[in-house]
Amino acid sequence: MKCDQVKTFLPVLAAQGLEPEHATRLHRHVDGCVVCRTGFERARKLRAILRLKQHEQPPSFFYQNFVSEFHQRLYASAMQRSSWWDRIRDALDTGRRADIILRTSYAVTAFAAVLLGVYTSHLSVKSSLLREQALQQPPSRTVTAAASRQSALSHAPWSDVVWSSESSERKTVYVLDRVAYKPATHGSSFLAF
Amino acid sequence: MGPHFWRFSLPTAIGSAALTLALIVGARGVLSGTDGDSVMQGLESELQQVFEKTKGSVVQIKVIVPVRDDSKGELVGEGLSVGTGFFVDAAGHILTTASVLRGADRAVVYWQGKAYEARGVGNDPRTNVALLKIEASTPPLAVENSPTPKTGSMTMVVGYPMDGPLSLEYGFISDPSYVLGLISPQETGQAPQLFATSRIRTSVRVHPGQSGSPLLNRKGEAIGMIIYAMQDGASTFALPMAAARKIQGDLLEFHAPRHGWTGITIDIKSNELRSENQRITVRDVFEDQPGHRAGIRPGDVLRKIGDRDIRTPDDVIDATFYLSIGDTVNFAIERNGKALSCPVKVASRPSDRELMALKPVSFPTTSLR
Repeated sequence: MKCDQVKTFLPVLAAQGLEPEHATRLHRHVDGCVVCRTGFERARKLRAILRLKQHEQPPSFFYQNFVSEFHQRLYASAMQRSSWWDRIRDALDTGRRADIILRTSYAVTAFAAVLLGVYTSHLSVKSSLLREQALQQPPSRTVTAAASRQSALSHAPWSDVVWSSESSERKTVYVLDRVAYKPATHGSSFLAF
Repeated sequence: MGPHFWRFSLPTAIGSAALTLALIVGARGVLSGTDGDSVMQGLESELQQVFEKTKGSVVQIKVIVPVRDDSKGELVGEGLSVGTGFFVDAAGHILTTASVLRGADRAVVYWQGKAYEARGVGNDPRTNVALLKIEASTPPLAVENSPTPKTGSMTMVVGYPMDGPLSLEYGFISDPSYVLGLISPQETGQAPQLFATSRIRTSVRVHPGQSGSPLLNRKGEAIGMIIYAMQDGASTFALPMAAARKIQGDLLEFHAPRHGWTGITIDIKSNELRSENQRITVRDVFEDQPGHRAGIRPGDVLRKIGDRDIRTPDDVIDATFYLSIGDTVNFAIERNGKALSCPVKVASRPSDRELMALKPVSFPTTSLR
């Protein structure tokens, strides 16, 4: 199993979302590979950070385009190859000095990313950092939730997916949207085509 | 009795015994009503054959999604969205629902015990269709090419319920073309909304995780894709394959749906949706949109769109769903008792936000060409 293949599944592995057999194969590789183990530890730390972030509440308009933007950025970051510096850093050192430089570079990069509007796919940032930002920082929005609710013409499907807040552990939702019937009344409902 | 008697009577006796036996067996069948065992065996055999034929083309899809608590509006972590999909070609394309993907463009696909990384090709929230691709040679599910299935036809669903293995459910077609207004279970005060095109309603009971499963006929051919279930679980809705294929083609070519648009509205009243031979009148025509440019006015009675006769609002929904952008479709209308023909050049459907900004024209605005 190659590192590139393993890298793709590390977040899911950390989220314990893989089939046991698949997860065992991945763990076998991770245990014997410094680079992948570092990536795996990073993903686990990210989950720990997320648990601490629960009390923070983004603005009410935050969720409008969150999911699509979040995944666009994940995809963009996943498509990027690691830079030569990343590879040297991973290969050489995880010590204190490198760690300070690394943390400083994270902070500087995050600051620059905010200033430059990192929400496009052109910024070259490490995929791990981008994942952390994607989960910790609210992306911008283009349409207000209120405006969306006013749309009598919307045909978007409704989901009955309910996420529980009882625990910050990973939730698995088996998808089946449900709908209820409500008769349309004359004058208030119309079809635009 | 001489020797001649035995020469004739032995075959006769054997024949008589065979006939008697046949009569007894036949009588038992008649007396017991129907041969229930053989009917059940036949049904079982068909179900097993369909399952065996289709199981290699159905996959489980897992997607990492951000989790929020709706009651508090908080982001609480990440989760897994799990659903079903099926191969539509040999190049690894998988049809599933947009609800499973939830805006993601990466997913993990489990197929025959192996995990594959999948990328999103595109999705259409309006019809709840999404298309994924894995890098593998895949066995596509056969698709029924005949028109709408008949009410009462036996139908099956093969998919992954919850964390269980690939399973088969069966039932019957309850209604081959359902378009009535539906509203979210939360009763949030939203206006009732119509499906973008007819859905097949079936009595098959499906479970969470089976969103995106194929709805199959007795030959194991896909006739639709499971999209929604009624709140009480008694009915399931499937998008017909013709509609799914239309969106699939758009996503493959343009990575986005290409819904047609004429800029016309009609009134909808639930109890009239299925009443035959209604006068479907134009409610509004949006300014500088295709219908307006073609000379259609509020109050015009729609008689035909393309080749389809318009007798119910259902007809309008289905006739317009399959319109392709750039095509010119003929609207046969009636105005003040006179039959008129208006060629409408189909445009691209605007977003909901753009729709809200459109203005209906004041009557009358243009003259017919």
